[in-house]
Amino acid sequence: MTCDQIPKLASSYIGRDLSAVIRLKFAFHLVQCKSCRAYMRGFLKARDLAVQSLQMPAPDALMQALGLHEDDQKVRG
Amino acid sequence: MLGRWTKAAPFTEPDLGLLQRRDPTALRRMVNRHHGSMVGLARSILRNAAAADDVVQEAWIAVIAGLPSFEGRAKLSTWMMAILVNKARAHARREGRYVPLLDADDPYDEVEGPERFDHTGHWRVAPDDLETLTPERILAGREVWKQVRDQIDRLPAAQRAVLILRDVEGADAAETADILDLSAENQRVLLHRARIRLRRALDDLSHRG
Ligand SMILES: [Zn+2]
Repeated sequence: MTCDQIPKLASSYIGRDLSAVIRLKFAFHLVQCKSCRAYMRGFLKARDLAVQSLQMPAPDALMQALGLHEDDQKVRG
Repeated sequence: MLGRWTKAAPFTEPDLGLLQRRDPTALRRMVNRHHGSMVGLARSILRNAAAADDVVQEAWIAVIAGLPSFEGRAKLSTWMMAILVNKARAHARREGRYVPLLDADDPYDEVEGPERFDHTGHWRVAPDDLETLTPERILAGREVWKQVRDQIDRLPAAQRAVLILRDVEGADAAETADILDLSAENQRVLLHRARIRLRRALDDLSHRG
């Protein structure tokens, strides 16, 4: 396997969605290739950043509309 | 070796009992945790930001009202996303603007295309491992998390929807295909395209920093 095949297979690899033979070739390439290990680390890092970026606080106006704004609760409490 | 690359990102389920008793702190945490996904998914289906925001609010009201009768047969996040998608589709149909999620024409093969590799198939320039990208870091004048969110917004609609369900909400392939009404193969290809596009965009971002 060569580096140019790694991006094409990366998503299936992390999803355990490759045949046993291709998976082994992929894993063997990673052991030997520093650049592709960096590619795969970045692949997983991109996923973590996607999660973190979409988990930022919801707008106050929405919390108010749902009756969940912290200030509302202090008034009621 | 395999485990290191294939282990799933951690997804923690909230305390359902607290949510069903309408504990405000637990509800706020739930809304904060999933709101970005809801907005991204609604925009994938409606392609109109104002309409998407209305549908997301409607979906949150339905989710909070429906929590006491949620039986836990599906994961909570999958159940919530299905409510949102159904509401967004119904809205689009009412407006006569429903378009099924497909993007067969996306030229994704150019994303990590031949110019990235030499004639032997090796990287011309080694890829960045993105380790220095943290959500709060400022790059080119803006926080990284905002730029990542922009990149997710720029994905073709169907890719964005699949990426959000799979990688952010932790739905499996079958659940995602079911919620978005996609074939298993389409779901797989869209996820692949979304992931390599996002990874490439963040590689470019980290080189700018
Ligand atoms: Zn390589």
